[in-house]
Amino acid sequence: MTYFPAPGEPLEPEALTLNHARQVRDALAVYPFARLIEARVRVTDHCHEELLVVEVDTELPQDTDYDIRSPERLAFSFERSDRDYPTVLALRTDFPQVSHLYWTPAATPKSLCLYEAPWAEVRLRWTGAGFLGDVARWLSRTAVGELHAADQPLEPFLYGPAYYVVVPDDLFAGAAERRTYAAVSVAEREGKPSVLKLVPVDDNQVPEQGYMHVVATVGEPAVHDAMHDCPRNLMELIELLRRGGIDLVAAMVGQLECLFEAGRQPREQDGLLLLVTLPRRRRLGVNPEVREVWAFAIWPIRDAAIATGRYEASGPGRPLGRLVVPRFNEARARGVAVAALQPIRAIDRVAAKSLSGLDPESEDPDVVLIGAGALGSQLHGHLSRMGWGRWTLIDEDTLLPHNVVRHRLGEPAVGFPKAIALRCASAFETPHNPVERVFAEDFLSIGDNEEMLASCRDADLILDASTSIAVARYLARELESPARRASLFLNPTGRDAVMLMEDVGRIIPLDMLESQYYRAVLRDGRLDQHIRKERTYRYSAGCRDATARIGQDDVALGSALLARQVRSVDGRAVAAVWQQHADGSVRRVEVPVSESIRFEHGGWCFMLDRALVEHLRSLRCARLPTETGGVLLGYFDVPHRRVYVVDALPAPDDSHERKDAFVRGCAGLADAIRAIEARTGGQVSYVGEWHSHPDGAGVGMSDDDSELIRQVAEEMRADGWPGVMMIIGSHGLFACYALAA
Amino acid sequence: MLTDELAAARRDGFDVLALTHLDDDHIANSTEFFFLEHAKKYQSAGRKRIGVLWVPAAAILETRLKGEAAVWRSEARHRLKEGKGIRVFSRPSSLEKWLESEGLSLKDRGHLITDAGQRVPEFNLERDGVEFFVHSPFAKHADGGTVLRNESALILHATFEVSGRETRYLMVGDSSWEILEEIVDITRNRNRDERLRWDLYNVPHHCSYLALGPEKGKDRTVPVANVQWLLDQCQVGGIAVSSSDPIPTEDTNDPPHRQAAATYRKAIKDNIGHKFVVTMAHPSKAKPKVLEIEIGARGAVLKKLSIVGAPAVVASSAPRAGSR
Repeated sequence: MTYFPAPGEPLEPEALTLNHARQVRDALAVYPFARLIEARVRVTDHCHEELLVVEVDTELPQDTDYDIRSPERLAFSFERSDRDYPTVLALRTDFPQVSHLYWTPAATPKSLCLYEAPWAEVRLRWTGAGFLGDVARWLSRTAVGELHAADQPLEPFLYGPAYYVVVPDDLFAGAAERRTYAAVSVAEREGKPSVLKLVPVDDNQVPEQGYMHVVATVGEPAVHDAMHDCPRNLMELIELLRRGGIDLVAAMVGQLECLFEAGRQPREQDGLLLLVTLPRRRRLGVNPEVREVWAFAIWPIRDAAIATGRYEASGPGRPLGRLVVPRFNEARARGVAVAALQPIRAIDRVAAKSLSGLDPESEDPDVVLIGAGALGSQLHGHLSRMGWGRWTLIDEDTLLPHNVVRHRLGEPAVGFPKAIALRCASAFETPHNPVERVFAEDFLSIGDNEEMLASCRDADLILDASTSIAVARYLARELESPARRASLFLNPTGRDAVMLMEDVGRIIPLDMLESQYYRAVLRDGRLDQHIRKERTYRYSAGCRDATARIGQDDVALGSALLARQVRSVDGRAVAAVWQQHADGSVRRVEVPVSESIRFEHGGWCFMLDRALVEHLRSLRCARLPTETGGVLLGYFDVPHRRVYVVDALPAPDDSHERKDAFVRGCAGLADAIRAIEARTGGQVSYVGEWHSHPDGAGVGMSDDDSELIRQVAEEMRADGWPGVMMIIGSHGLFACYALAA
Repeated sequence: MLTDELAAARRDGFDVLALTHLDDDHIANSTEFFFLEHAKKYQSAGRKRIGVLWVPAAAILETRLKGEAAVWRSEARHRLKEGKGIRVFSRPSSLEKWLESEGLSLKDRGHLITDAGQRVPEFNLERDGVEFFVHSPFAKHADGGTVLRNESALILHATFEVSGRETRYLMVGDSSWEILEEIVDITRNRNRDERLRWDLYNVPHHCSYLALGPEKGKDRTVPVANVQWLLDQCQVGGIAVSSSDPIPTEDTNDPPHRQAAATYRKAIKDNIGHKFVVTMAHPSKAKPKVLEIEIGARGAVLKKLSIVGAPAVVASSAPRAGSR
């Protein structure tokens, strides 16, 4: 067995000075499976290095995949600066070429790569004893080919190129040669990896940096092994690629000939971007599992051309001519600079979904978003950034300075229509999922806008973030489209986020979800402060120029909560409130949803639901055999002649309940109604009367009933509303009556 | 340790307990640990049950036994009389006599007896992933006027199979070069060399030179030809385990003998590492630990990574803690 000499001079182990070296020395005294052979030290102008030469008894099964032995002689090297991992050198001269080795020159000890995490993190929990264990595990697991976890990507071909190059998707699709690109460097910082972006340019566009002509080539499948050092010049690159079965000279000549054929002479400032695909396999005999792509920027292209020995120019700037007798020029090849680049695919929709943990194969719903305000813009931002949905935005508003505080758009967009500015922003920021259509118009003008109508008709989902009840009602009842609809909004404080989403079959339409949401607000103690009027902020002199005082953090949280729900709902209707508390916790308050019921009378449509009727039935049963009654709560939609009945109050204490009659009292009623109005932000109020009929009496109007509704209608005329009455009979039978005075 | 392992496997007993022979150093305290069928006093709670007890015929037949050895003889005899939970290795004529004296016959109990050269019926390579082949005792050893215990000890050859990889373990208890020589002769004559091939070998008689050859030697015991041949049957990466104190540097009368250790170290084809292991020096003389060998799809592996640090702490019960 022969070993490489360890670097440096011998040193007494007691004389070690570096903390980590001493830790390992001390650990060796008790660690049973390794022995210290000697300590060494190496001091130069730049470094002070202390080394331990150690023999490690490896845990090995009888059958191994790689020739790792027991014992294995290693040198651990520690640097005074402690800026990087300790170096672990395998001193055995025939130590095998395995994965997880750093690149080292031939005829030098191989260097083990122990850690995935950066040294700054590793050192926080690093101990000398733990380090010995790490080394022992590296050896044992490498021996059986398990160090490289089965789900871990293969070792990359090159070690640490300094630059990334972002390449457009189509480059990978084989379109490389047919287009011309320019490489744009973004923010170079000394000592930090830089990013180049490859952007397609027209042939008549002359970019400052010169063209980058792209050559793409594919190598032979090879087993992944140690990483290689980055080539620095064309000669090194040619040699490196030869190992991958690639004839770089031939590939370059092919591209140059294409250029000549197209009548284009490469200029001094033009370069060549070589995209190399290397099929890599985990081990011999298995199919390649990755196609690693590397890029090499070679420039200037003219020097590279001359180095191939096929071309020559009579001087700088002079055209290249073909040589009759080609002769490769190694000296020239060493003079051509090469920069290894790590290509990164520009983000696309599938990758965005994958990165976001979404199913990349999932269908993208066509989404129409009405309202691109604070909530809408951020909701769209979350979902579109993840690659989710294909978007149409509708909003007629213009971005004003006060919007900037909690809008996805910033100051530069002030004065622009929100929808249009958002389209620009998304094309720029998230080109993998740009806004497809915008309408900077009032949604309620949709009747005159065939294009907008078509967008809604073709949509899978219509999200209403307009905080306009008119829009929600229109969506619920007027708009003809199979699309599922949802209302999304924040409460006045911005701390509660609300989603009302129809079921896929639209059995419970949006307006009925709204009415049941109000009932929940009335009944659920957790929602008693939910719709509380807040002091507004006036941004201008107009009466309506007021806006809510809500923090951007609250909008961000609310929009994120809602976005998460929107993308994960199943086919059922959802009505819920997410409440944020001062301690940061979020609580979901479910709005019970029940089947809707319509009842028409007197030219008015009563909008009811099963739960309300059930409520009335139980109030009736509780008082049988006498009649009972009370007032109905809800609201009118006058243009559509609808009465939404949200809830019903029981008989006030001063009511007269008899077997054949009911006289509603009024004790505390006015206060109760005021409280209800306050609690619902003025949305829900008195709409009419209800009373029960005893068993066998039916639900037709008696003379008394007719008189009652007439009187109510008379009073309601002052508000322009009809008189409304409901009669509840036996077996859940009921009737609604409306009478305009 | 056995208790810990049973607990880890959620078992309350062992399928098989093999007693190679009844020397005190092999059975000390065992009658306090196991649940014995033959007497109530060995049946208290917490004792571990034994499915089948494997014993050499000598364990039934020996007469001058005392202490725990006698208890085990009673247990073995009880089980043999009951006709279940026992396997006796070899059938010397004296066993037949003993059976007759108990009113039994070889015919009744023959299915509980396995002779050398046979596989033990409790296990089946296909079904269980392991089979046991019997090398010793052969009848000759258990017969004769006096029973020489070590010579009639159990010697088994186990073949494990994991994912198609066979790993062979030659289990020699306390034995001598004469016995081994004879076993090699018999086995080779029957063309069963594979039954002596080994990946794991437990070095006989605590690394006594007498398991190698007649002369201890100065620095090294020269093994007799057949024993050398047996040592050569070590497969690549095989492990020989000496269950003994650390190998001394000086000459000693009692095993382990340093000369024998030198022979084993040299003889084992040590091509992928040091595989002569001494139990009381593993991983170090200062702090020996349980020696663990795992048999898997890559053959046998002597566990090192899991016996130091946190994995070792959680692999067994913690030491007692408390205020008193």
